[in-house]
Amino acid sequence: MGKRGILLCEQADGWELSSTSSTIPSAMIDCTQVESDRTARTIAEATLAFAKNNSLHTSQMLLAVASESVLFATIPGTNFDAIKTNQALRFELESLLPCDAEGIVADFIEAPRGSKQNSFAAVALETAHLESIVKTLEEAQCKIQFIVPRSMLAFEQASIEKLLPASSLSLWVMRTGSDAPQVEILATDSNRLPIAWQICDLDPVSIEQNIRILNSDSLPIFVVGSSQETELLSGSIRLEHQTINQDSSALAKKRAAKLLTGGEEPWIDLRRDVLASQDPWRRHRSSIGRLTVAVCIFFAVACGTFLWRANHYQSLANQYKDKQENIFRETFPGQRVPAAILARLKSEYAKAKGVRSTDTATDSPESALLILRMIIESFTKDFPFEVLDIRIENNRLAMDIELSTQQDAGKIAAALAGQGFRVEPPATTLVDGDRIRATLIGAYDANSNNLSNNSDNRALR
Amino acid sequence: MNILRNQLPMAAMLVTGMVLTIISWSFYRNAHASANSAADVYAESLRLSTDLERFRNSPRIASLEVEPPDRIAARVSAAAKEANLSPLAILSVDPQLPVRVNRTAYQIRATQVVLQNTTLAQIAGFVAGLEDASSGMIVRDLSMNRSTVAGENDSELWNVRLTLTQMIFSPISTQ
Repeated sequence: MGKRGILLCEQADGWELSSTSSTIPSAMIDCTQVESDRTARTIAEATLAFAKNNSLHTSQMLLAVASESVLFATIPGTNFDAIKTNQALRFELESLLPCDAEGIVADFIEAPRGSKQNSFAAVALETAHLESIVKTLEEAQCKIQFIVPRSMLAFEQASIEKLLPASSLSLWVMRTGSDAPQVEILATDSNRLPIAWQICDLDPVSIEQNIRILNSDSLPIFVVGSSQETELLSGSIRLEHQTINQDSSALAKKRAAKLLTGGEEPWIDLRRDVLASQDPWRRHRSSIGRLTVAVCIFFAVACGTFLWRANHYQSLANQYKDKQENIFRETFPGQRVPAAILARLKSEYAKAKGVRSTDTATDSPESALLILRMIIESFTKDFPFEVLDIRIENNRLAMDIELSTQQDAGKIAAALAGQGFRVEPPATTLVDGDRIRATLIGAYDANSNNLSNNSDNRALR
Repeated sequence: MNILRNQLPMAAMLVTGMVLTIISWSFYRNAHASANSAADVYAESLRLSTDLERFRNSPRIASLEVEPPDRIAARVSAAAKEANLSPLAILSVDPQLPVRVNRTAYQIRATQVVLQNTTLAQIAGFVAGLEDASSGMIVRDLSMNRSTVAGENDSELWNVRLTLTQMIFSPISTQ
């Protein structure tokens, strides 16, 4: 069940409060000077009381002004876009109506999209007429959705319900308070939109004069109102006409209820400029509210998602940390796990690489003992020789030996080569007439021979 | 003022929602970065650990600290004892200052030892006693000359000059 709104209607002798619900009786506000602040406060207080007594919502309120309070003009021409802005419209109306552009609010009726419109109707309202009332109601937390001429609500509903044919002239009997009823003459175009609107007294002469002025195209004439009203009016005019029994107040209330439900815009809305300065976003408030809720839901979902993902990643980070601690414990059993595990591992890695790695920047020397062992292993017992001198320096070998023949020196050099030495051809010298002294020079290539790794130092002992 | 007052709860809700979203996004981003960092650190730790295990199975080529002079003297004495070398056979022990090998992370400390009238077996035993892979100690240079003196049973004796070298891993500080 939707909210029930409040309809504040201007009458000839004051303001009437009613609800869009037909079960709630209307209430008159006793005031005569609507311009004064005191009257505005009286209206606001009465509205709050009416809302409270009838469980109505002050956030759904429509202010219907009397037809006498507004000015109507038909702007000819098809240059519609040139004066489409509200400010331009006000200045355009200044030349057509007896009003000051600075002191009015105005709105125009736009034809449905795609339909042809040779002229359009505009309605203006002097801001001083309602400014203090609107301001006071807003201060009292009453949210006025629309300000619409009361008769225009009935016209609009009749157009929606297609009570009247397109391009017609209708006569409406309007009762405003306790005063004598008035007749409002409305001419509509092929889109059922107003092109002329006139108020006159319930006087046959006056009515017929106005009809002749407005009905230059000989449009069909209809009389709209309750049965009593139509009987009263039918007797006053001699022109051919048809009667439609529809209460204009009921039509207006029906249209007001529809507008307050939301989603539709009235033909004419004078809740703008000065009369809407307190709440420029009024028209979009419900959309903004829905958008806000949607955004808040989005924020909530985003928050939840972010926190859930953050928790997941935090859990992953903890798992990796635990694994890292396990690695440290496996690598360094019995040691306390430090806070900076990676730094410790890097430090240990650098040390281990420096102390044990063979692919470091410097060549590690071989033990001279291993080289000596391989030299001795290369010695043969096939022929006598005597070692005089052995010099091993950083894998390089120089050895002086004495032997019987030069060929024996070559055999020893070959034996050394067999042990992994790169040996130069031996230089020999004859000494003491029968002995040959040979100098063997070579270098041990550790990379080409892995015997050193398997050698046993104790073999020499 | 009324409008502002009316819209305040809505605006407060939006601002609160936005702030909470930003905070939770910040949590998420930090946690994501933390998880990525932890994964990288774990992978690096695993690699280092594997390499460390590999290095543990490799022979040592260097020491982490310079052996103090008293330890060198003790090492020479112990090696001589093990090789049945008479103290008179050790003519000199001359430790030198560590020097850096080019621009590498290594230093070398050389200690020259001179022996006289020793047998080949004593030389081998002495050198084996001096060498210690765990502290990067090896005998890199060895120079042997036949002694003019003959040993027992007319065995060969040698005069020896050897260089005991200690490789020390000493990276150059980059700070």
